[in-house]
Amino acid sequence: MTMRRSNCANSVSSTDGMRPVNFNFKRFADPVHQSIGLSKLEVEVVATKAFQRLRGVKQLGLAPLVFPGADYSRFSHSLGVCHITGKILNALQNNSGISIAPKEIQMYRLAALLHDIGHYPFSHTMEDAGGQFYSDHKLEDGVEVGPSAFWGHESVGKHVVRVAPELRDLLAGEDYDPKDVTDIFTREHPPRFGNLVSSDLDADRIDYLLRTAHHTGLPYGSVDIDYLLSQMQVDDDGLICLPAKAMRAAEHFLLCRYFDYQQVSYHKTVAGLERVLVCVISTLLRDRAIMCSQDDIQNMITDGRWHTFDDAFLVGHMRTLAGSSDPVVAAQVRAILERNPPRLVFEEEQIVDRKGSDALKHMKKRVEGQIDSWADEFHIDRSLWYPWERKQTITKIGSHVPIPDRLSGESDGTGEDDTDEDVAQAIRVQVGDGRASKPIMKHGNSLMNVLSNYELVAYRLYVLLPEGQDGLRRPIQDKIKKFLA
Amino acid sequence: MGKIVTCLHSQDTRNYSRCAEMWVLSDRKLWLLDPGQAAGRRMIRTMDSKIVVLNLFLKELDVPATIDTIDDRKLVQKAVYLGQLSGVDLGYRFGWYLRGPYCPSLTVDYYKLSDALESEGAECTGKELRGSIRRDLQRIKPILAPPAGVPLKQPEWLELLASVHFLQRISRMSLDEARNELKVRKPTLESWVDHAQEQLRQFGFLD
Repeated sequence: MTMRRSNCANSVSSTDGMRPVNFNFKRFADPVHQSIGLSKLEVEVVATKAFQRLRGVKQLGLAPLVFPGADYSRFSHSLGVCHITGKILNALQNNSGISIAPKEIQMYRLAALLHDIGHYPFSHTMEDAGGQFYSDHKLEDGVEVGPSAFWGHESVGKHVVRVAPELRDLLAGEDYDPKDVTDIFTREHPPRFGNLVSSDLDADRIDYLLRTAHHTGLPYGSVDIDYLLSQMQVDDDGLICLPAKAMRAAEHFLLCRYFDYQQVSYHKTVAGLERVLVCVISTLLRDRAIMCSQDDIQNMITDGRWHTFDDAFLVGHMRTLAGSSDPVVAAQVRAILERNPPRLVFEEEQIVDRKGSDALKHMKKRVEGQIDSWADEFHIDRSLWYPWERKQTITKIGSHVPIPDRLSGESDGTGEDDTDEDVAQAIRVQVGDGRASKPIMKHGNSLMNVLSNYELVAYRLYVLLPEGQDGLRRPIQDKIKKFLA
Repeated sequence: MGKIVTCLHSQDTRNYSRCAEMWVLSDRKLWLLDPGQAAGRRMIRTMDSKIVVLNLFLKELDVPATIDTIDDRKLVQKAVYLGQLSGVDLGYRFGWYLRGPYCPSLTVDYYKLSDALESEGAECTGKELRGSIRRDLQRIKPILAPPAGVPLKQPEWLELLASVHFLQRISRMSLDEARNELKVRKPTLESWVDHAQEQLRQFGFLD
């Protein structure tokens, strides 16, 4: 059954949406939130094969090879995001006097529960490799893989929910249009709360930070989340915001997230291993050991193979590559399976103005221009040298970005009523009488007013050293240091 | 003048007949080989293949890859949205944001493209999109120019086109519902909805 849509995404009529929903039909023990309550429908969603598959997709990819406890899955994360979404919606009702029908709450919670349902094995690493591989066929002389493109995980998730009968029929049977649910996490319909799903302080990011801190043992989850969640409200423009008194807690959250990324995702060993993993997955795609075009994924979802397409599936294929006669491929696979990470031989980091900087560009060009000769000199195949590059900001936008009056809560003085879409992702803090709000970095007394204008740029060079030749690391480092001096 | 280049990523051999310079796909990147020193495995420039394709896609549509201003970035976002309607699917999926259809992963990629063009000066010499893809893009290219009588700048025109299409095709709104949505969210563009609708129909993007 298809719901009648109104001007607001996922809105429900006053008659069929007011029936109470018991969001504590069943409770799950959880190390982060202690106890997570789910409705009957949510429990049924969790029981589906498509959702159970998430137990086999690790949230943090190869990070457990460095942080032994960090092997939690997207399954537990998804439960956590559902739980936090419910808390945010409750806070909005309590603090802003708005009414959200139980059915609409259920819809948002379902979207939260299902937002990661389309993640590939090893998540973003595989998405990265697949995106590259399936672009190549568009070029003359490129690999011929047919006309099909590669889907990002949200598009896959949309298909899993809307097309495969398992979830589609379950949701439709309870009078929830699967499209309404996926519209929330794909933003395919103008949303009622523009910044609920994707912002610097959304349920996904909150659960990620808390859960990662818990499982890695790092201290970045010590954020006053309960306070932040209890303070969320809606301004006159329908945007979720925080009162001024919660600004410090919000800044603390942003800082913790910044350090978490530095310490976990960009950890030198984790990043190096994931760099190699991209190469291994590319090899599997090139050899047709795995096929992930849109058509392939659609077929997998339709015939049920999707349910076993998880990290273990990919590891199984990697094992078959471990005995490859190609020494490069064999070395790359062993790096992952036997935890023999590539060695960091050069690293440079700088904090620079995010408006634009040539920092590192010249140095990067020089280094990459020399890799071939170093590869020859040290007799290490060029394919085993891995440049790595990242930029990281604390917030999506800087405080210098002009914000349109209707979103800034005050005139910017620039006379420019235009902005990037990223402004929609900023944490908003109330101004004046609390009816309006503006992005946190636009508050002159916020730390983000300053820090948001800077970014960390990092450049690294890794080398996967031949077995038993770890001693080459120091000479290579010295060579690079001498060259750059 | 077929040349065989053994890719640095072993196992991968390509036949290049069109280019004086030689490119190989290796380690997720296209490596441009100096023909005289290919055997010596000298690499000159690198650019991710996904980024190369994006660059060529924009070139085919005559859309600059520069992203210095908000209008520049808007132009790229909406041109890719509309370009994909030709059937050339780059894999970018759009959601509804402040200025209509917007794709965060495209943002990431055009910043990468900008960096690559700036630091490497690479212009994809020797690489071309497949002929069928170029023809598809050429077919829809005229829609990117504001029609006579529509006094909008190109970024605004593309924003309008993409929004009118998105709201009807993706958000499943009727034309009137889409018009109302635009009236609230983009009042300066609302007057030209019918022109956009007409153009989208002419190009077969709407029934």
